[in-house]
Amino acid sequence: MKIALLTPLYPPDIAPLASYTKELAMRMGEEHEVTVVAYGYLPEQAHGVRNMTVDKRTPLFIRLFNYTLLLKKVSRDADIIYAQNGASIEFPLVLVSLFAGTPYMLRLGDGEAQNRAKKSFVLGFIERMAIKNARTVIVPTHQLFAGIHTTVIDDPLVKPEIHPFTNSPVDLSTHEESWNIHIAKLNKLFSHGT
Amino acid sequence: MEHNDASTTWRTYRNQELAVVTPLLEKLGYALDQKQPHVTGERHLMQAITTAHGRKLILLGRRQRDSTRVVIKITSDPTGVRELLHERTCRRILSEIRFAYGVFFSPEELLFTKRGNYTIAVHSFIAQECAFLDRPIAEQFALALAGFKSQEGARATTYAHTKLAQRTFGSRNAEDYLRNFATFKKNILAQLSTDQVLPALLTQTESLLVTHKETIERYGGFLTHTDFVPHNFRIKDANIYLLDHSSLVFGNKYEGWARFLNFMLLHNPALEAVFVQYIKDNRTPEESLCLQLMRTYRLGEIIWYYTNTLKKTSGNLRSLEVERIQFWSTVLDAILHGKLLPNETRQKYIEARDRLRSTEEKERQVGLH
Repeated sequence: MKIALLTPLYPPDIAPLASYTKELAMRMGEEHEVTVVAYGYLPEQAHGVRNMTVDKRTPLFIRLFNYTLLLKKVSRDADIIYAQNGASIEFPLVLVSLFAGTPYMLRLGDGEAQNRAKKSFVLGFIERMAIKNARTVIVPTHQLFAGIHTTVIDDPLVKPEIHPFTNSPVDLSTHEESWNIHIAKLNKLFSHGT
Repeated sequence: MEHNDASTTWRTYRNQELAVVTPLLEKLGYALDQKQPHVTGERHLMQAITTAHGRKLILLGRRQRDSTRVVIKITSDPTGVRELLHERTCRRILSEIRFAYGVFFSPEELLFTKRGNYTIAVHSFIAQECAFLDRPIAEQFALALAGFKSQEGARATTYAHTKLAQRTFGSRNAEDYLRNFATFKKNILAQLSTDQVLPALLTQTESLLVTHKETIERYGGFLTHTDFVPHNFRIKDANIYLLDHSSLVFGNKYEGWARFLNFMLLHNPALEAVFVQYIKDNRTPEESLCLQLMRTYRLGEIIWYYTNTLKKTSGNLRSLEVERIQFWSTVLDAILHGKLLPNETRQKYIEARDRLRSTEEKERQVGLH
């Protein structure tokens, strides 16, 4: 399956969403063809993952325009789009979805972006349009959206750091298990849509 | 007793300035301590390497009305004044920038004023329970790591951020690092033309930096304190207070780590080893490479710095600068080739340093780190 992952942040950005997307891309890339479409400049490379970026250092309208064009190109080839929330993704996504037939799933994982959308008429409108046109809306915890069916998929655990002064060795099995469950649920959605 | 122009010039400047500023500060309600460690020893040699340093006095004292301990920066030198203003702007912007995920603490500003030709900045003195290097190593690690992660949280990667960053803190990209290193190399070799080891070492380093220019660029745009070493911060209640805001720049995120780890290789090699292992265990191989690149860059810079001081020094101090150049060249060789620095090399340098250091400088170093 050809999957496009859309994200406003990607390593070397330091943010949970950035590392989540890279980890997701690498794991998904083991069985699918994965393209990450991100805002960035010289993203970290990962085996089996194609990176396409729009330079974040350009003015807002230019980068939104460029991201829309890039997304239009990528979506022609993709079987499914998995997008992270945030106006910089939702706006191009809504525009492209009007013309392209590629279904997308929207993950509402960025609470700050949702708060901004609540406070702004324009951002709120963009978010509502993105949610309305999504095949599936994924939330990490139970959230109520009037008239919108959401699917709960817990975020995988953050990988514990290996610190030099802890007595016990780091147990990565729980972390791995959480990712396996996360990927399995996403794969089911990618295949069946619900 | 050593006779050299730079030291004499500094002492003259210092004494003249103290004669003027002491009564000036008293009128403002501040009394100076008897001992002034920041205007003695090798302070006169210290200049920023890639930014011009103006002359200023950094003095310890007390606010007379309540005996609050203070740090006073005072200068009439135009470059020094610009630095104080710049540092003040950096402090303000640092506390305001909304994309900083964590904010460093800063000593409280008690006074910022101009009197005649003098610009005066007074901040509260942050008392520490003990020097950073006297803390248990696990604590040193945790505190420094928190400091680095806080810096990494701010990244100027949008259009608006880039403009703000450049206006306030200045920025460095891979081209800047390569250009700077080429300057270091050129100046070092011009002054040490008979050195057998440095030409090949610096050429290899330059070649490595050029080869991995993209890696340097990839990890750019991060807020980094380019002089993040214990004498530039203080710890109180497990919080890090930055003392020098003018060394903040948007550049490679491992430049600050590089300065810190090169410093610790000399002062606390166990901590240096722990950090190198932490990066290997928790970050990508490319980030380990980036750290190595920036360490070699900073080592080139420190060799350049000491090379530049040679003509300003004589006697024991000059001999000490020669030892430093030799030591840091050996460290560069080790970092460049991924080798461990033998402890004997480190000990031998420390013995030479302690033998050649002036009494005044030895006193200044007590409790500094």
